[in-house]
Amino acid sequence: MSRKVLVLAETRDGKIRNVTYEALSVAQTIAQGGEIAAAVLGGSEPENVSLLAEFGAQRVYVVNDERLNQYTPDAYVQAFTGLVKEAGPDVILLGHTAVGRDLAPRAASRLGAGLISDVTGVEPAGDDIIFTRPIYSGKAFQKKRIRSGPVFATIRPNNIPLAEKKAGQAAEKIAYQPQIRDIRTIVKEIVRKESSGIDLTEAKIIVAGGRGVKNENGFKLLQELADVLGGAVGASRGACDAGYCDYSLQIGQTGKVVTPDLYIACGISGAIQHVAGMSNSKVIVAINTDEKAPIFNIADYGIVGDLFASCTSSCSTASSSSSSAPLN
Amino acid sequence: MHFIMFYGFIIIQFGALELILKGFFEGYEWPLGDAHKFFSLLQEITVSLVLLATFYAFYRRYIEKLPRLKRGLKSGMVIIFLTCLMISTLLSLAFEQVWLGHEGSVYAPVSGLIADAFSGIGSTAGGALFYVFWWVHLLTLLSFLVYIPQSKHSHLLFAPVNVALRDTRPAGRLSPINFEDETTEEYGVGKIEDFKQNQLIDLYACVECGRCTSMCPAAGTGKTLSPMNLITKMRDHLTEKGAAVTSRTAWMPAFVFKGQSGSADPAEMPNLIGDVITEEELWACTTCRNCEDQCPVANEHVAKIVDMRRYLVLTEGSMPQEAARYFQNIERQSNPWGLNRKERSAWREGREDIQVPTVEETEDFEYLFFVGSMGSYDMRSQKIAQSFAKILNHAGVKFAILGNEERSSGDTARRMGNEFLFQQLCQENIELFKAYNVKKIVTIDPHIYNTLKNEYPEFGLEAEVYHHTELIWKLIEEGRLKLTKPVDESVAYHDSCYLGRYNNIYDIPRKILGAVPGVKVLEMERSRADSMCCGAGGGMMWLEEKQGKRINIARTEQALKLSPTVIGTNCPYCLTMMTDGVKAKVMEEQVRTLDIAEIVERAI
Amino acid sequence: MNIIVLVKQTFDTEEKIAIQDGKVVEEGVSFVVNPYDEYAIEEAVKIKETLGADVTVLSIGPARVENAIRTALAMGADQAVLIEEEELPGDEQVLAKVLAAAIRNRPFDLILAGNTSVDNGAGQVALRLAEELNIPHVSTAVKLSVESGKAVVARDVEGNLEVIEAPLPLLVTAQQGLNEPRYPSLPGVMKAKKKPLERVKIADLGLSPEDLTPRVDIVDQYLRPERKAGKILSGDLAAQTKELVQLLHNEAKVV
Repeated sequence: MSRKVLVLAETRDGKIRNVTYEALSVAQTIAQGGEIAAAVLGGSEPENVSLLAEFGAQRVYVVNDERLNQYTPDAYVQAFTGLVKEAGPDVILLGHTAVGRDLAPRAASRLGAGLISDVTGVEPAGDDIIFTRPIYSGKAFQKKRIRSGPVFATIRPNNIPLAEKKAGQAAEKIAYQPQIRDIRTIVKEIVRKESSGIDLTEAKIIVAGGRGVKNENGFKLLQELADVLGGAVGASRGACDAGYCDYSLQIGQTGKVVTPDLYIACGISGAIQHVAGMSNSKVIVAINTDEKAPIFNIADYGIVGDLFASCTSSCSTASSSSSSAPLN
Repeated sequence: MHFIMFYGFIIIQFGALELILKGFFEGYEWPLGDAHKFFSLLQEITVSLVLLATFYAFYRRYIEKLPRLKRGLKSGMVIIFLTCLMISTLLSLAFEQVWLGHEGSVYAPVSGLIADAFSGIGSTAGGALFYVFWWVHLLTLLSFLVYIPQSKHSHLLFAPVNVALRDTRPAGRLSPINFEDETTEEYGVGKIEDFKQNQLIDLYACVECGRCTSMCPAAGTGKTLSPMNLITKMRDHLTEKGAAVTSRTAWMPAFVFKGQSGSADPAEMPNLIGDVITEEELWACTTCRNCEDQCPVANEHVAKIVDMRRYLVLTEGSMPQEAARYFQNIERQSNPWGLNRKERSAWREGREDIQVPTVEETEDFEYLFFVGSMGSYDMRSQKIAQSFAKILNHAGVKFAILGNEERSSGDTARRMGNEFLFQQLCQENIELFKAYNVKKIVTIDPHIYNTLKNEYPEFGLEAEVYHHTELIWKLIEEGRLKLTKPVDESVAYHDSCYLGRYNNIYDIPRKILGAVPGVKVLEMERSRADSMCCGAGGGMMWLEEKQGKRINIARTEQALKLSPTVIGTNCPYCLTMMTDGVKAKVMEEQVRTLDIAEIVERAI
Repeated sequence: MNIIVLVKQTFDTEEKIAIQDGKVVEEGVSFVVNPYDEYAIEEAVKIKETLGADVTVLSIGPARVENAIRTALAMGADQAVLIEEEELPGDEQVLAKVLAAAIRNRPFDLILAGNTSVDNGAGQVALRLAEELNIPHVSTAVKLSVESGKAVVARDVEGNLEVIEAPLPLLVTAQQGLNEPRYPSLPGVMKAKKKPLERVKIADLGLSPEDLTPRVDIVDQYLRPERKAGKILSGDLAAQTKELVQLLHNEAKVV
């Protein structure tokens, strides 16, 4: 069954975010002959159109209006739903990002459509598309489908395998003039984080250090690895007490509780006070010189060895990894 | 010194009275006949000793400058008074002799000597000088009398009362709150007048000796909390408030103490919690009771702190965020970390060589092993539980655990002020004990031991409660446990607060260590009743120490001074704290931290 | 000022999930107020304490939801409305329409909610509700201040902080860090038992069959495959890290 698919192409600082390519990859599996379109809201680099084409977009709607240069729910909901009404897609896909999470529910209600959020898997099944998504912080999963109306879904980043990039593809570029009446919320100020660090409690990947990191420089190394992986840096109480890092990084019983997809514990013994803060991580990696350290009891993967060497090595391996798009 | 002061004072009263009468009736003496000379001798010796004692007191306070003793004028007032009294007594007696022409007597050695020195001045001069010093003595005595109730010397009146009214119940046992009345708006103590009367007598019994503060682990590591200041601040607050409420000044004569008028509006008085005693102080207490143990007048500092914590937690719902999280986790999953309650008995699987049945799995058990949250969930403490289980298996003791039904004992919740949660847990545990016909309970945690033994009976528990060291020693004595393998370690033994000061168990763990071949027990400078808290009690395990030095580091340093190879503990909290302390000192390679059960296991 | 707080009762995040016949088993489970909703309740009570407000808690679900509501009341809310139904409507759109119908005729200046629920985790309902009520929203708030007729909200956006000004009435969803939810005091708990709790049924809300028809179906639910015992890697360090990165990418799919 062929379906027309519309993907919201999200950009960051003008560059297309990886999750857009992931959404386009999904589109390729479900379009089954139907047209795949992408929509770019707000200004962006001209070469983005061809980049989108390389992942399967046949048509790119360029929605330019200076009111879209900064995200606001009203402007984006009005522009996007207007485009949807005009383009009439069967399937609408967004990334489950800050923009996606904020925009999709309102847009779905405005369109009278069901919405399946935070999807980690997509399979076409006859006339239906079955979406898989985690529930209960990933302890269980559900499969859902849209019963009627447009199929609307947000895709969790870093979960869908990318389709093959087809160089040299072209897409039809169409300018769309949005109807934006009224913007009720005003963005007064944006305070950018100085460090490249992502908020610990939201981070999907955390590289954490314990006493084994031995000093502040050790933490710089962890930050490098975190940067390469697109994650944040955390710490055990022991490391904070020893002055290797700030207490805002502390994870554990008296610190922050985190539930990332990946938790890399470096030089952390795994005492219960720390484990209580990260035991619900999806995947736990432990790096420690002590093979009897309790952390290995809860780790999925373990390296008994020097964390400095491991991290440095992991950094170089990960950054030169074979995935064609940068980890974003 | 104080011994002399105490008994001397009583003895001197008789002499003082006689001296007063001497001023009215020339040459008056108690009608003791011949025995009077012994009376005189006793008086002279006592007065002289007291005088020496005051010099010693002066030396300790102002020359040796003991840190716990204050050096202001007020603190010195008494020394001045007493010295004055003693000297004027001796001089009066001496000049009486000159005046009346008495001969020197061996029964009046000191005054006799002075009399001899002045014998040349003649009877009239003698009489005049007698009256000079008689007046000095009288005025000093009467001023002292006025001064006593208005200073810390009121302890003369209040301390005996305090000691007489002292609770004879187990040390540190807290009083429950009755929650039946659902319209109660306030719990705990938020205003000074809400304390019980005997708690308030404490405030006036305090003699400001500073012993409590000198031993307090919080005060000793730079926290704001000082037990002595706690008492004196509350005392001053009570006095002020009393004056405000009664519209009468507490101080007499009023014209002398004009600054402290009684006209303040009671409603404008500072708040007990927040103004007089800060929350910071209240949350710094580890409930170690070193203060109470040291106090010569039987003051009880800890219960007052808990009463104020109860006010904060129950009435205001105000507490450090970590404490709120602690309570929430206990409420939801019955353990401090909020880990799944169905994992509580998973520690059994940690070792293949132990048999640990639950009460569901066996009805045939003598002891109910109440493992506790630390032993069940904390990876390091699980090893204590496992070692103890091994010991019990080895000695053929039949025991069982409650398994996943075991709830937190509630001790920490109670000490943190959440009496409601404590009573809830207490009832639930007692129901479980009854349901499984539990007669004897043994636990590895002194906090649990203390509350089950001393506090649960009030709520209906009928069972014998043992700490694991008590049971281990019993097994050794009965010959069921033979310690044959040598354990060549020098063990710096750390007495825990709840086994030690709360329950006076000092010797049994030492006897156990003594029975382990190869173990050399090293005694820390602060041991037994003077042992310094590891810093985890009173809920502190779960709260951040924001001021000063970490208590556990201070205690670890004391242990490391002995150059041990092992630090021995009898409590899972102490074990955690000392282990962390050793790690912080980067000495994990040289010094291990082991529980008594673990040491014993190595010897069987 | 009138504030409505949306509260959902969820499993305690520590609970192990069991699934039978495609449904999540509720027996023996410890229920709590959705942690993100706690921030919303706390914020409402804080505004009540500083500016004065009437705080209504709104929830939907079976009778056991009353416990969550009483917790919110113990924290300081004034009254509550429970749309009592054995089963939640299975679809976020229907849920939003139901809630909108319950709210529409009540006065409100501010609607507060958690930004997601820890069970379903979709984060749709509150925002859909704002759309149904045709009011603006600001999501993932970490700071909120209300002045006459408008609100200033700082929101956490993937690490950056956006400061938004918006008019009232407004819907705001709470993110971790907005405040520290209070531990209910005992007098608060006692008083909460007596605060008014209005019960309604969906049938009373005047919705059309069309409104109540879900657009989404749940086809299946299943547990995450058991966490296998961890793998300790071997070989020299370089080989180990290479293997690790590969495993993380291919097997665990987390990088």
